[in-house]
Amino acid sequence: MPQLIRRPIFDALVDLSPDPVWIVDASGNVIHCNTAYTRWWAEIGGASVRIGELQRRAFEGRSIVADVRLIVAGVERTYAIHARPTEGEGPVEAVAFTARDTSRDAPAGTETAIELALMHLFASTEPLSELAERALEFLCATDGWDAAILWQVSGEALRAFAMWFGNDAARERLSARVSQLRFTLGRGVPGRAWSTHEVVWIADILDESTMDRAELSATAGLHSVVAAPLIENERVTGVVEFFTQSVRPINDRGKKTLLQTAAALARLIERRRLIEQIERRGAEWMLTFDSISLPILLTTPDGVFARLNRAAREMAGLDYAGLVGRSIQSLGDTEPWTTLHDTVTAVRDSGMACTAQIVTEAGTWDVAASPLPASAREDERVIIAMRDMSELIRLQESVRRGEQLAALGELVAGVAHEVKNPLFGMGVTLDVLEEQLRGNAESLELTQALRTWIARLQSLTENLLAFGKTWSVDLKPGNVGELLHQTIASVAPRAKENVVAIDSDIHAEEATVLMDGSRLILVFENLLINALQHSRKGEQVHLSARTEGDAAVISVRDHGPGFNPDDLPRVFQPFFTRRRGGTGLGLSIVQRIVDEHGGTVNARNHESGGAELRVQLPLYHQDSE
Amino acid sequence: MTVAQRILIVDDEDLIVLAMRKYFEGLGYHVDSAFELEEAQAMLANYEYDLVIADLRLTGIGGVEGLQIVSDVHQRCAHTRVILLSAFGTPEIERESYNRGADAFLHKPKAMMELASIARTLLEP
Repeated sequence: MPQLIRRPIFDALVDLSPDPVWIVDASGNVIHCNTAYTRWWAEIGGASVRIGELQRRAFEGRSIVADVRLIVAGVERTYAIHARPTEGEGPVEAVAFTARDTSRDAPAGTETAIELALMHLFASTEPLSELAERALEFLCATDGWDAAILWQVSGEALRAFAMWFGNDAARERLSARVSQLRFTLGRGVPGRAWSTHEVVWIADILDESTMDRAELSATAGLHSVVAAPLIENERVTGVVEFFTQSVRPINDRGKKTLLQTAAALARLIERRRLIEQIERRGAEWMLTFDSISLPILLTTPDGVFARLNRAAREMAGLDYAGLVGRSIQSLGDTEPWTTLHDTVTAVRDSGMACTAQIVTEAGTWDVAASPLPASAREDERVIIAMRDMSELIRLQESVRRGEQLAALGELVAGVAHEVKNPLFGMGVTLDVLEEQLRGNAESLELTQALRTWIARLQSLTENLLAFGKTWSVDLKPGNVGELLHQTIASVAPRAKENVVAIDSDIHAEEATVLMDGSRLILVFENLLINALQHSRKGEQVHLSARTEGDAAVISVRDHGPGFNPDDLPRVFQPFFTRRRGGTGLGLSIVQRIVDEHGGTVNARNHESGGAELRVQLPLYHQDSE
Repeated sequence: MTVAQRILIVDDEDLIVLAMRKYFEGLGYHVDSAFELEEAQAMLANYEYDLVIADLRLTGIGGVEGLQIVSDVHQRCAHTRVILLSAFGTPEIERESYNRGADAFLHKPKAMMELASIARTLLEP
C-alpha cells in the first residue's frame, strides 16, 4: 500500500464502492475487503472454484478480467471479475479484486418491459385479431421493424393471423397475398422457425427458398427477415416474423430477446383464447341453462340467489338483476319460497342432497336440492331443481281411476254372472209352480209379480255385464246410417208397445266410422229405449244423424220432461237414475262404449223441451291410415 | 199310446235339475238327471236318450264339460238331440259346440216354456 495514503482514508475509499473489493495475500487470506464484499461473499455462499482459479493466475503476475457465473440467492448472475496483482520486483505480494454484476448492465429490463406492455395491451377487451395487430405494431415500433406477421399453426400449416405494415403501400401490396400463404413444417422462414423451435434470421429475403415470398417482399422493399416461434408448453402455437427494409444483422442477444418476446406473445394469445373460450362456453351454458323448462336455482348455503334460469326467474316474477344477491326469504312467506328456504337450510346443515314436495293451488312441485362444494367457503352453492308434477299426478290419478273402474267392472261382471244361474233356477221353479197352480187365479197373480221382480233382476244383470265387460276393442269400418236403421228395427216393437213413433232423419249414409257394430248398436238402442221410456203415448222420438266436419253426429231427442238441470252433471254416473225401476246403468254403458270408439256423448235439455243426447264419433277415412 | 220320450238333464245345480225335471215330467217326458260329467257319461252308456239338456259348466269357473257331453252323445247315438245351456258362453264356445254336433246353444236364463218349445221342435219325428 502506498505510504502517501493513510489507511483510514484508503478504507473509506474502498468502502464507498458499491461493488465488492477485496485483497488477498500470497497465502490466500483476505487481508482487506469492503462491506459490499462481506455481503456478497455471504450471498454467493463462500469460495468459488472459478475465483480460486483466477486468484492463482493473478499470483503469476497477470492482470485478469473474466466473466464468472455465480448463483446468488438462487438466480444465476454474471460478474465481471477484475484481478490485479501488486507491482514490483519478486513474487506477487497480494492481488486486488473487484466484482461487478454485469447481469444488471445487460438490457435485461427490455424483455420485462416488453412483456409488461404486451400484458397491458392484452388486458383490453378488443377482439384477439385486432389485439395481435396492435401488438405487432408495438413490437415493430419498439425494435425498429418495418412490418410484422403473426402466423398461427392451423392444422398442418401456418396461416397469417395478424399483420402490420409500417407503410400503406406495403400493406396494400402484401396483405391480401399474405393471407393466402400457407407454410408447412420446415418450409420457408416461418416453417423453419416452427420446425427448429429457434429464431430464424435471413439478412436478405431474396435468398429465401420460397420464391413467392421473395418476390412479394422485394416488391414491398422488405429485405431482412427474422422469425421466432411462439412456444407455449413446449408446443409451437405460431410464429412471429419481423421485416425491415434495410439489411439488418441480428446478434444472440437480439435472438434471445425475440424468443422471450415471442414466448410472452404465445402466452398472452393462449390465455386470451382460453378466456374467449370460457366466455363462449359460459354464454352457451347460460343459453342451455335458460332453455331448460324446469326451474333451476343456485343459492349460497344461506339461501341467497346466485343464479337462476329463465323458468326460475319467471316463477319469481323478477329479472336476473332483481334476484341475484337477494335471499329466498325476501320473496315472501309463501310457497314455494318457504319450502325452498327450508330445503336449502336442510342441505346446508346436513351437507347432503335433500328433496321436498311443494303443493300449491297452482300445482305440485318436486324439489331436489344438492350441495355444490367448493374449495372456498364463499364459492359453495346449493343447486335446486324443481319439477312440475301436476300433470304426472293428474295422469297417475286418471290411471288409478281407470284401474279402479276396470277392477270394479270385473267384479261387477263376475257377480252379475253368478247371479244368472240362481235367476235361471228361480225362473224354472216358477214355471213348474205355475203349471201346478193352473186354474188358481189368485196364486197366479202372485207368481206374475215374482216374474216381474225376476225380470228386473235379469235386466240389471245384463246391464251390469255390458257395463263391466273388459272389452277388447275390435274396430272395423262400418256405416253409421246402416247401424241406425238396424237399431230402429230392433226397438220398433218397444216403440209400438209404448205407442211412440220414431221419427228418423238420417243423412249419414256416407258416414263411416271405426266401430264394433254389436257394441255400438247398444248405444243407440239404449238411447232410443230411454227416449221411449220418457215419452207419453202418442208422442214422437226424433233420431237424426249427419256429418259435421270430421265427425258423425247422432242425436236422440224426446218430448218428455227432460233432465233436472241439477242432475245433468251426474247423468252418466253408474247407478244414477230418477226412473223407477231403472238400473242407472244405461247412460254409463252408452258413455263407456262411445269412449271405446273415441267419441263423445253429451246430455242436455232441448230449447223446445225434452231431453237430447248427442253422440259424436270420429269419421274414418280410408286414406288416413 | 207311444212310449214316453226320454230326456237326460245335466246340471250341477240340484235345485235347477229338480225344477226342470218336474217341468218336463209335467209335459209327459221320461226324465233322468245327472250332476257331474262322469255320472252323465254313465247314464249315456246305459240308456239311449232322445234328448240331452246339459249345462256347459259342471265344475268351477271356466269349465266346459258340456262340450264333452256333446261329443260323447254323438259317439254313442247319432239320433240323440243335444241342447247346451250356458250362462257365460262366448261366440267361440258356441261355434265349437255346433261343430261337435249340438242342436242348440241357449243362453241362461231361459223361460221353461221357450226351452220346452225348442225341445218339442227337436223331438219331432
